[in-house]
Parts: sequence; C-alpha cells; structure tokens
Amino acid sequence: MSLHDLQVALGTMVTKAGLTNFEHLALTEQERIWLESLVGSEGFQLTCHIQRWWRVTKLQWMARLTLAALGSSGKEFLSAYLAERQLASLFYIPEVLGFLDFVRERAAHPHIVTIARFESALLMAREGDAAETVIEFLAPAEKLLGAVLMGDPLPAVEERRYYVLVSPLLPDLWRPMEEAELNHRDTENS
Amino acid sequence: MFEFVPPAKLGIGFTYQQGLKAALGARFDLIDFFELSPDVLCNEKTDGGKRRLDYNLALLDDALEATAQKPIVIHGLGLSIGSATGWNEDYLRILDILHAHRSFVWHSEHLAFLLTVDSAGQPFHTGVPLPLPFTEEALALVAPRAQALCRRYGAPFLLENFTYYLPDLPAEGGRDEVAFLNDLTERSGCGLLLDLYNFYCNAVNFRFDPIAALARLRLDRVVEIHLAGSNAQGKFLTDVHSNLTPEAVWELLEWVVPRAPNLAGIVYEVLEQAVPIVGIDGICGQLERAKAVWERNYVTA
Repeated sequence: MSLHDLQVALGTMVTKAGLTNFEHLALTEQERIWLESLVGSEGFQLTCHIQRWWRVTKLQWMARLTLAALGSSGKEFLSAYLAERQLASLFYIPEVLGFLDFVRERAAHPHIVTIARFESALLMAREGDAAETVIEFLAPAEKLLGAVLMGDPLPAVEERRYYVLVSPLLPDLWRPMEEAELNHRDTENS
Repeated sequence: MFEFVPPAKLGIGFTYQQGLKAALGARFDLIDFFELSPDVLCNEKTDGGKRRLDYNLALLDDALEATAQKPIVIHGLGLSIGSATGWNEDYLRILDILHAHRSFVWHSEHLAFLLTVDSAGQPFHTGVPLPLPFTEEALALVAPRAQALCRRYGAPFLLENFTYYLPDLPAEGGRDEVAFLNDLTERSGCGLLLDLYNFYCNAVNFRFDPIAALARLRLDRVVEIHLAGSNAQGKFLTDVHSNLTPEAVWELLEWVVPRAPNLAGIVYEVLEQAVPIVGIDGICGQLERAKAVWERNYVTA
C-alpha cells in the first residue's frame, strides 16, 4: 500500500472526473476495487462537480471582461480550458492568467485577444505588479470596452492602432495613451 | 511526545474580511477575536518551476490594522498537510512572515491533501481538499507534521475536520473519522478545530448519529468550533459556508460546549462572496447567538 500512489490516483480521477489508468501505481487490490467503485458513486461525482465549479466560479469572477467579450462561446472556452489545463494553484490569479493566456492563443477575433491581454494586465496591476504595460487596441478602447460591458456587437476592427497604458500607479489602473507618448515606451506584443 | 497545552479562552470570532470593520460599525465589538487566513492576503507565482507565495503588502497592512485591537488566530488552506508528495513548504514561509508581524493565539489547517503529482510526476493541485484514508500510513505522515507545527510558533496547532463525499474511505484497525482524529491528537499533541457544520454534513451524508460520534471524540482537545451553513446539492449537504447555521448544528453546539473544557473560541464562518447574501444583520445574529451559548457556559473575565 502506498499513500502516495493512492493520492496520485484519487487526485487524477477527481480532476479528470473519471477512472484513469493506474496500472503503474503501487495499489493494493482493495484500493483498486475502491477506486473503481468510486466512479459510479454520487459522492465522487459531487466531488468532481465541486472541483470544476470552483474553477469556473473563479474564472467567472475574475475574467469578466473576457467572458463578456466571448459571449455565447464563453462556455466552450471554459470547458476546453478545464479539460486541457491542469490546475496548478488554488490561488485565483494564476488560474485566471492561465485562462486568459488560453483565450489569447485560441480566440479568432482580434478584439477578444486584445480584451484578454488587457484584462491580464489589469489583474497584474491590481496585484500591485510594478510593471507598466501598453496594450494595442484595434478600435478606440472606450468604444470597445463599452460594447463589451453593454453586451453590444463589437465595433469593427480598424486599421488604425489605439493604445492603452495599464499601470498600478494610475487611479483607475489604465488610461488611453496617444501615439506620441508611445515613442518613449515599449509596446507589449504577443 | 509534545504536550498539548490549551490556550486562553477568547470568546466569539469571525473571519477577517476587508471592509468588515466599517460594515459592522457599532456592532464590531460582538467580535472578541479574528480568524485570519493568510491565503486571502497572498498570491502565488511559479518561480523557476517552484511555487512561491508573496503577500500583497497592501492587503496585509489592511488586515493587520483592522485586527490590531483584537487577538487573532490563523486558519490556513494551502499547506496541504496530508500530501504524501510533501506539504507546501512555501506556505510555512508566509506563516513565518505573518508571525514576525503579529503573534497569534493558535493556528489551524484542514486535515486533507490538495497537492499530488500526475502519472508523469508533474505536480498539480486537486482544486478541492481530498480526504485521507483512516490508515496507519496516513497517521504516520500527518502526526509528525502536526507536532512540528505545534512547536514552530509557541502557539497551539489545530487540525480541522472537513466535509467529504467519497464513500467507504479505506480504513485500518476499525477506524472511522472520529477514531482517526483521536489518534492524530494523541500522537501529535495537536488540538482540534471542530467544524460542527462539516461534522453534521458528514453525519447526514453518511447516515451516522452526530451526537453518538461526538461522544467518542476527544472533546478535551477541541480548542475552536466553526459554525457555518450551506445548501444541499442533490441528496448531499455541502460545505460551501454560504448560509446561516442550521438549527441542527446549533443543537450540536449546545451539546458540545459544556463537554469541551478547553474550548477557547467559536467562529461563525462565511465566505466573503456570501456576505451580501447572509447580510450584516444575519452575521450579527449568528455572533449574538454564539455569544449567548458561550456566556451560558463560561465565566467571562
């Protein structure tokens, strides 16, 4: 019997919400039988549900802008993220930053990529991260953010670039920035 | 063997939350002590593949200032004391930092595991506390860790029972949860944080008599009691700590308090996100009711 291997099996089963291959683990026959019996139990299903519920709830609390921008495809992104990305931390910020990175990698609409990048920068600024970040928008920032918050269709992607400075030193953590000012700063690129 | 020494009695406590002092106003003095969770004051980053916790200094300063007039106790979630792959060493570092700022009357953690590894040996977080089997190996893992924590800060260390939903946990020697908790306190010298709502949930979910089970528990090791409430999820009571304490749990409290000679505090626990649902009046009602139970049973200084 190995407590280590029992925990590996149980932890993996809960995060995958199902039976996993544990042939390589040093489990007794009784432990294997117990683990196999768990899968069909309501208690195991509830445990998996709670695990997933906490992950989704954290993301819904902390990635509001991006999920609002995603609209009806938000659920699909959440499901894909939970299925593909193992939980590395109980803390909100690493989980949310991981999700926002995931959206940036997968989203087809450039405005959604921008919103995810902006929301990441805001989160870091809110945590007191000292680094300033310049985010490139493809429509006026207030117009895009307004549309996201009101649930309106996103504005057209423009050829002109607009810039936003995110900084923990700013009263609202962000402000629009003129291109002239940008000449003195680095722009964050993906 | 580490000798258990009960701490001084504090009275009625509440979980520290930012903005609480202002929200409670004149009713702030219902609270005799605060329960502070370092987890809510920190963030976690990965530094060269290793976890690193750092305080958000503004949140830490706010917490220390807001609780300056009252004693504090610490209640953690992130230590993962039951992990066979190793507990969260970095969590001890942030406890050390907090202790350097402010001494605490006792500290506590959940009796569970949150950290393990996958089949490739990569560490991951389970996302929800998972129970330990009631086995000798689990006792041999946790008891020395609990004892080390008893010694570390010159203050008692408590382990909290929690709600689990997995049926037929592996057990040895005829142990159940109560016997396991008793063995742990005996071997380590630690105390117990008896979460009565969690205990009640397990009793309902697994159909055992909570009074008969409490009668077997080492009540002389109960230092703190948690009260809480939640909702049912299907046929299970869950421990989300988002509601008022149910009457059945108040009845358990009335039964336990006169039988727990070393009880030092009762805390009503509610998630920060559930405070608008329960309401400040609801919270104060819980504190007042707990205070009435406390004062009926203890002579206050």
